[in-house]
Amino acid sequence: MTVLRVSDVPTGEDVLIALSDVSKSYRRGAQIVPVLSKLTFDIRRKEFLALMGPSGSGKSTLLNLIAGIDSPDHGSITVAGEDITLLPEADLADWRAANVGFIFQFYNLMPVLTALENVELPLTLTGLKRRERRDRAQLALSLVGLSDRVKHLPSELSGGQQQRVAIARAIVTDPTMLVADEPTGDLDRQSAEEVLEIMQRLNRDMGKTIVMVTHDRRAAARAKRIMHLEKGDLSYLVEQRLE
Amino acid sequence: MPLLLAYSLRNLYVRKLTNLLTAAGMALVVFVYAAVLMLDSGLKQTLVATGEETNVIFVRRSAEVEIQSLIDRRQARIIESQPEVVMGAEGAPVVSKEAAVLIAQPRRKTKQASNLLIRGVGPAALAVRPRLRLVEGRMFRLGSDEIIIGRALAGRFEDIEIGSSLKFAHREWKIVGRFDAGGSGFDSEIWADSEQLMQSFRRDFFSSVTVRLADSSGFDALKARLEADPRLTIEAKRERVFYEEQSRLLSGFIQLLGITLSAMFSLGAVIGATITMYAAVASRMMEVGVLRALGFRRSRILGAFLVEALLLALVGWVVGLLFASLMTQVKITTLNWTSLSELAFQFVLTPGIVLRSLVFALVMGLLGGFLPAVRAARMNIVDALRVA
Repeated sequence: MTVLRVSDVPTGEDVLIALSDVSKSYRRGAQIVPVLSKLTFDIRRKEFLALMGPSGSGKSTLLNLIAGIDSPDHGSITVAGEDITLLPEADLADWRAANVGFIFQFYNLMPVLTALENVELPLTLTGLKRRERRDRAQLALSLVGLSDRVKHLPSELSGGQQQRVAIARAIVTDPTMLVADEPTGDLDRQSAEEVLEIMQRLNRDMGKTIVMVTHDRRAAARAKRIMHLEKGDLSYLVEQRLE
Repeated sequence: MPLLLAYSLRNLYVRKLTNLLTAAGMALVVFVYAAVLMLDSGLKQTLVATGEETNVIFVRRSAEVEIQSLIDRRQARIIESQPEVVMGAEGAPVVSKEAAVLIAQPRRKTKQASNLLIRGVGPAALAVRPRLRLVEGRMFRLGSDEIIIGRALAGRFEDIEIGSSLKFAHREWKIVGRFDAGGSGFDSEIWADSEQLMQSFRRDFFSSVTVRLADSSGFDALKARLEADPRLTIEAKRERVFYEEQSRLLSGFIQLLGITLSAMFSLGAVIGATITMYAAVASRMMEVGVLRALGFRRSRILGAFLVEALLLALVGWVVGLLFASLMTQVKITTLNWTSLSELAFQFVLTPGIVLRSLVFALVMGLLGGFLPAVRAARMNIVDALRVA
């Protein structure tokens, strides 16, 4: 394990996400609470990055900024050459639909839709025909090993199965990157291992760029790189090679 | 079915009790609204049906109803001799010179007196109004004290049935027949021989003269010529227009009452829908956050919740209209404020009412759903996701 300073993070042509001078603060009543300050770093293509840090360190905020569901007070976030902080609201929504797959801690599936329909949901934003959408959703579900659960409602599935449906939903549009916020935080160890196994496979075999926020060292150990955030600053970074 | 529509529908189903109650509120409003329109259209249809397309009625100038009108025999003769009037089988013009009088007759149920219109008609009355048919008994004999009664009167007034007698104008009038005038205003009248009626009331004036035209397009020329004739003090109207005008006062009242009632009720229903939809949005904040994160634009979220509110309104419309359609079985009798005589009519459901009540329900849904839908669409994604 090598410990590098933030400034040592290599940059190059392979950079997918570039944060430059990013600051973000929240208003709590009359008080302004700084969360991230002047953050600059890159995430390369096909990376599997784990963001770690104590509660309140701003790792979820950082993830939200990268995923384009929150905007920084200052600085730029460039994804595949496009500065997403400059995009108007509606364009940003389109950008998310095309580029980001979300995996949440509590799965966040639509309770009234079946597993297949949940996975199909993001595809309704594409120009695909109904038949193609169904086929793709089926394929995504088979990738996470849930071909036999397509007609089930989320309430009829275990936590681990629900999270696998959520992963299928995240990958079905073949997005540029996957962002995962504590994906194993609500799962038992066995299910967590299964979910991490799938994520690792998506990164290794399909080249998906993954940014994952986690508390769990075991989960972080699956990543190719780990970053530690403390008090809104990327205080240091641990690079860890697998295999 | 589009996935987002299925999503909205199933969410409605999930909160079915709340949503059913909300829809029931809307159904009530739709019912009131549709019923009032049906009442109004029933009234209009009855009075409009009273007039024949090819008939022209002459009344004294500026008389709105027949009982205000006087036409003397000389004027009546001039009217019936006009070339536009069609000739009957016996070579006589198809004209009915009529005298209209009101009598007070106690109602069967309440025993309270109400106005009944007695119409004295000429020998050609049935030729002038071919839709009128005797359904029981026979026609009165000319020159006798016999009368026939309209279909809608049976059972509503005391002593009005075939075989019994009615006393008015110092005479006893024997009821010998009952006629069906096809749901028109005549169904609420009693008919007698006009000469007998005028004698008994000691008057020598007709109230109106109704003629049948050979060709209905001859009306304008006839009207222009006779109204300009210095010997006449009459006004000519198409019979249909004449009776339609009689519906205006009552119809205006019904509409005003209906709109006022519907507006007040609908305010309640819209507030109900707003509360329901706010609750729906609040309980699905996480879902809204996810949809937005997945790339659904604000407009799509707005649309999804509006569709939900519209579906709610649609359910209310179907139920409300269903109950309103049952009202077509109900018969109403009321005083026509223009002619001052009793008139029987029914609730009539027309395609126009179906459409108007649909639009009304959808507008309620739209108004009720708008603010909650805007709230959902404007929700901050991060805050919405934090709810989970």
